[in-house]
Amino acid sequence: MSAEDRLRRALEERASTVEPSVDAWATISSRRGPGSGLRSWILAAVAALTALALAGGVLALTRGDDAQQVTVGTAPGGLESGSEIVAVTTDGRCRPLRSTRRPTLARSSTRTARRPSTSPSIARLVRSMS
Amino acid sequence: MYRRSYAAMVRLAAVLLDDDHAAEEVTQDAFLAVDGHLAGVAPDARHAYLRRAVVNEVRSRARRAGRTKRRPVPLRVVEDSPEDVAVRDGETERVLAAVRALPDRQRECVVLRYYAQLGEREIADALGVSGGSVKTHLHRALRTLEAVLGEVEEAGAAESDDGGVT
Repeated sequence: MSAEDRLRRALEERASTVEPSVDAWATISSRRGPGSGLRSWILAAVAALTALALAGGVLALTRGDDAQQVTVGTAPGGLESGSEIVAVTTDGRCRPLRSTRRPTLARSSTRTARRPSTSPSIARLVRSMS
Repeated sequence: MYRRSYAAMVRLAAVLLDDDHAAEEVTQDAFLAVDGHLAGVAPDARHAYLRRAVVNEVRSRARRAGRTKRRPVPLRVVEDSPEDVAVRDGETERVLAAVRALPDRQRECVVLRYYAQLGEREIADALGVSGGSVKTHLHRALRTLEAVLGEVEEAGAAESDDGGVT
């Protein structure tokens, strides 16, 4: 008998002595746990939501500059009081400008008129809005 | 899948590990590992997929147990109960002892070739190695086994001759 035949016979005999457990499926099921399927769904949902939120955030950041600030003018009533130069956004809201060089309006109070620099274009724009 | 393959996989793991209890655990680990992945595998490839998972689990367990080192040949390292050993004849036990003494990769190739009846390509796929590597391992394993079993037979014949004289 060749070595290969002896190998086959010996390994087959070894395997024939093995008796698999009759309750193995119950063991596997208990180890798998009833919530494993649910857990995987929850993980997938959390991952999808996170990706969606990140994508939305990136989109908002990249588009925000173009969409928001479109016009420069005064807050309602601000022309008479000469109080503040604001940015008017597309949705109609006013936002104070943070610039350190505030332009002086032509029809503003004395205090505002004494300011050193005035932008003619802004003054024209504010006049047209009022 | 479980009904069709579980017993065959336990037997394969038992032959690879030479430990029936560990074979059960390893097979159950493999079933858990492939759980949820089998749906994406073609039906005729599922048995091979599961077998690969079992072989991977066997190798992981062997690594954990520090069995990756080559062991000297041919010590009789039998972990089975005396009852198990008693049911095997001497020839079978001699061959199994020689197989146990092989390096891990050679033993895996031998078991997959001569027990699981796989071709070289299937063995390569199950072990994640090249076909050439499988051929080399099988060749070396057979040469070793032939040498060891030949020596054992000669020693056995000499013993029986001495016993006949005295």
